[in-house]
Amino acid sequence: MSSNRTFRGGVHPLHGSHEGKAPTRGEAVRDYIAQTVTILMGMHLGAPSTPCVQVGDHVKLGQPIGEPVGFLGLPVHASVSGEVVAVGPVQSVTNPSAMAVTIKNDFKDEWVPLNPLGDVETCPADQIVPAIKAAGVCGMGGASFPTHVKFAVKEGQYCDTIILNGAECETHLTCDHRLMLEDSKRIVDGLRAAMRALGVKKGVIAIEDNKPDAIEAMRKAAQGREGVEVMPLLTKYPQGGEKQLIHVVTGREVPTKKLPLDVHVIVLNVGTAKAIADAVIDGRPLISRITTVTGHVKKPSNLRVRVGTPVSDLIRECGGYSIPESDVGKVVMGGAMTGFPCPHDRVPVAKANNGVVVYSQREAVELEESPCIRCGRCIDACPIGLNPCKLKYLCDAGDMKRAGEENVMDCVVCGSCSYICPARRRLTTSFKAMKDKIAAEARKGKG
Amino acid sequence: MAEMNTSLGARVETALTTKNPALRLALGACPLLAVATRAASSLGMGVATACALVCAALFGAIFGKITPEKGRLPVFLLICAAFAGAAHMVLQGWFPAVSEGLGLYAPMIAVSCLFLGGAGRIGEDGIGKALADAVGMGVGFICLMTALGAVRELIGCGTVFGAAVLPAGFEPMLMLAMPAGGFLALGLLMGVCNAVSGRNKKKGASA
Amino acid sequence: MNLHLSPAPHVHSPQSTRVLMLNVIVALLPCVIAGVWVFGFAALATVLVSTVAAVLGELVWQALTKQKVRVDDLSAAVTGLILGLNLPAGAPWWLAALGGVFAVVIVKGLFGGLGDNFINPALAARAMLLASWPKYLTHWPAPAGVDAVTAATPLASPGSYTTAQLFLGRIPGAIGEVCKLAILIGFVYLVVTKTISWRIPVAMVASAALCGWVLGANPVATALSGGLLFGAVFMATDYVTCPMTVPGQWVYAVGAGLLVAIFRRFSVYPEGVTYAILLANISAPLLDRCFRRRVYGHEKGEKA
Repeated sequence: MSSNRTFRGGVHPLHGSHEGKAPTRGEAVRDYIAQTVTILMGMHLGAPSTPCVQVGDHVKLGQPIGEPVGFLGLPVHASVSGEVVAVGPVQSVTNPSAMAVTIKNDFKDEWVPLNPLGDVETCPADQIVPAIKAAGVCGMGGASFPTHVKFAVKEGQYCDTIILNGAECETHLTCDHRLMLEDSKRIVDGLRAAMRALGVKKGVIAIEDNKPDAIEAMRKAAQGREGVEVMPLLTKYPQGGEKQLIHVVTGREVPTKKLPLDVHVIVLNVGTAKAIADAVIDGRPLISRITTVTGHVKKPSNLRVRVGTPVSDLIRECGGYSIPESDVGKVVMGGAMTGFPCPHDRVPVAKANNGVVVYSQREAVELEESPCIRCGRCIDACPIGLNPCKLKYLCDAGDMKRAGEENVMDCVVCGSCSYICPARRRLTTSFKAMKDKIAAEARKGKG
Repeated sequence: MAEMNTSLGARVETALTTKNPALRLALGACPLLAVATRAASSLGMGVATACALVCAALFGAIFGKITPEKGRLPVFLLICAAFAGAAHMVLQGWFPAVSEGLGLYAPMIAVSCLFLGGAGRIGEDGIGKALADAVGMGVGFICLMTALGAVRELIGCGTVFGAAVLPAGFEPMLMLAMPAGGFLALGLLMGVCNAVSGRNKKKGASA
Repeated sequence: MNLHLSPAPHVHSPQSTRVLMLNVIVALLPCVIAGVWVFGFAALATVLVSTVAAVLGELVWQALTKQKVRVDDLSAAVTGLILGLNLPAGAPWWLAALGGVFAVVIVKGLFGGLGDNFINPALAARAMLLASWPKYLTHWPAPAGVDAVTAATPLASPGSYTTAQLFLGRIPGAIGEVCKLAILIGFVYLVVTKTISWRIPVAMVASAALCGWVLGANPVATALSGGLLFGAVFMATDYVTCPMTVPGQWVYAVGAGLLVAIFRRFSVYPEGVTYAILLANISAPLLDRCFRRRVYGHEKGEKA
């Protein structure tokens, strides 16, 4: 099942230990339902939703509690039934004051009335995208882009291929892997729904070849489904990066500053496809997701948790920390290459949080930067073809003009250069800061 | 008049230190690298250049006043060539050994960048200022040439002004007698001077 | 719980600067052992002196200039070791020591330290020693047990040694360069540990042998004589002074090999590896500018 389909550049983090996936890839998904959930209003890219419930309100499962704001807005739904106990800012992974609604679970799991569209092959195609939007579906691979916006085909644009991203190239994570094994049919249903929504003839499910069982399962599920094929890819980070995936699958490159639709492609995570299927077939909003909990926990697992579950609950469900609490050095939301470090372990899980990884103090200590030895490893590793070594000097010097000329805005912040650098230079961090600075400057210029 | 004097004195000092032609402006590097391998010949070259420079500056300033602007450069070059030629003949006549040591570089004083460096300003300054500049540059050049020549002679040959000063077991570092060694020695010397003046500046700023 | 908030990535490649340098040191050990086997313990003394001098030189320089002392990255040790292996066995101790200090202070430290030197420090030091005290670097001790004090190297008198002698190293020459077997062991180690790519050494030796053949030399003898193999494996591959891009490395290596062949055939010195690599070093930044990778989503050569 091995494949040599890949892109140029990239790295092999934790290659000796199966990309850090060994402890959880055999762990079937378990359900965990929290007593209290803190549901963030800003779980998607775009403006946070506005809470539309008040403290003391009783909410049912799937009831909208946040109303969408703006073009990239998405509704937010109650992930448990029960009583609203707080509405106000809380600490999220990246934001110290993120608006959230806290609900105390009454464990009745009473659904609001739902509007199922029924079978994905026969339901009215024009109602699929509105259903996706109403269900609050956003990209579940990490970037959390509102899914219905991806389907907004502009005048003159068209889409001929939908790619399902099952590469799961990030280290440690196995949630997509388990999903593909355990819910393969739903994933294909979601893909078919997406294809029908835009009249697309070709759907490709791309999976790294370190998951032969998932490839097998998806092939079986795709059998007899119109236009759906499974494509094994070489195991290499960042194989699941949108730009890399499009290039590998279609041979097309997304021109700089353009979107995948400009090359007639839409990329969806397999988790997103499952959420689409739930939204279309059952009319169910996105209220739960699978999260991999691994690293220094007693029982590394894949948990299906309600959106808004605190990380500390996940860790307790996995038997707690396997090292003394004082030795816990970092709790990261996501994989090792792109995950965000948590300021404390009570932050809530959002729609796009695919994993929680616990590191020890020794593993978490920030390595000291030393002089660049010009080995060129970063240049070889960059999946985009940038010159990180040179770019780092420009970014650290704050030279926005020349950093722009060296195409810093094309950086996908995959972390490959920082990972590979023998001098431990924090290249990606510098590029991210420069990208934010240039973007902020551009916004300022506009308005 | 007193003010005039201090400003002229300051001008000499500037030309000698912070605007030292060879050390700071990297002018006149050709003779530095090629000739300054022995203390004696360096001194000779330095003195000859300095004399020619002072005379050229004096006459350049005089003629600069009466020459139209477009004609100044050729006129000045002629003056330089005349005095450089004179210096060369003086060397040949009275110091044949030094002249021999300098070889082709003695007549080439005429096209030394030291002169051309000053050519652009001809006629702008008064005679006094031009002379002050030339004296400062000349003395600075002599000092540097001699110092570099002495160091290169010492390490490259084990002698200073021809006299053996190092123990017999010393094995001279031949590279310093070659142009490559000249670059190295000049670079190091410039570095040391920058470091020292940088430190002085810091002290001045903090005081 | 004291949580760190350092940003992603949270794992790093195990290959740190220090590990890479250590790999080079390990790869050089066969050459040291072979050198001792061929020339006796005088060889070991020379190598040790230059290594210690380089490390101490870097230590003192960084302390004096109030920089963070980074001798533990082992780069100075590698420089000293390579320089020592480039010298004849039994070279005066002061020669080896001076070379080591020159390499790390003048060539490396003054230009900004590790990563900022524009030519290979060990090679520049060797070139300096060769220019300054040529008699020590042009007279090669004969292998121990051979009944002669100094002898002509294979380059000075081609055809006087068999291919086996050239390969195993019972020939006069610099400590590290004589035993090609030891160099090849080091090369394989470096490639297997992914410390260097095979590209530069293979391209440089092949180019030198081919060009030498065109100019009338025996290609096998060209490859096995003098410091070509040692230079190609350990010095031309110096990260700091070789190009960073793959096409740049090809041009660099082929060019260096070409220069070796030309210097050996036409210059007054029998050997030309040192100057060939130094010249190639200088071209590296230009080659990196010529051969840039195309950026994803951009046309070739397009600017933002």
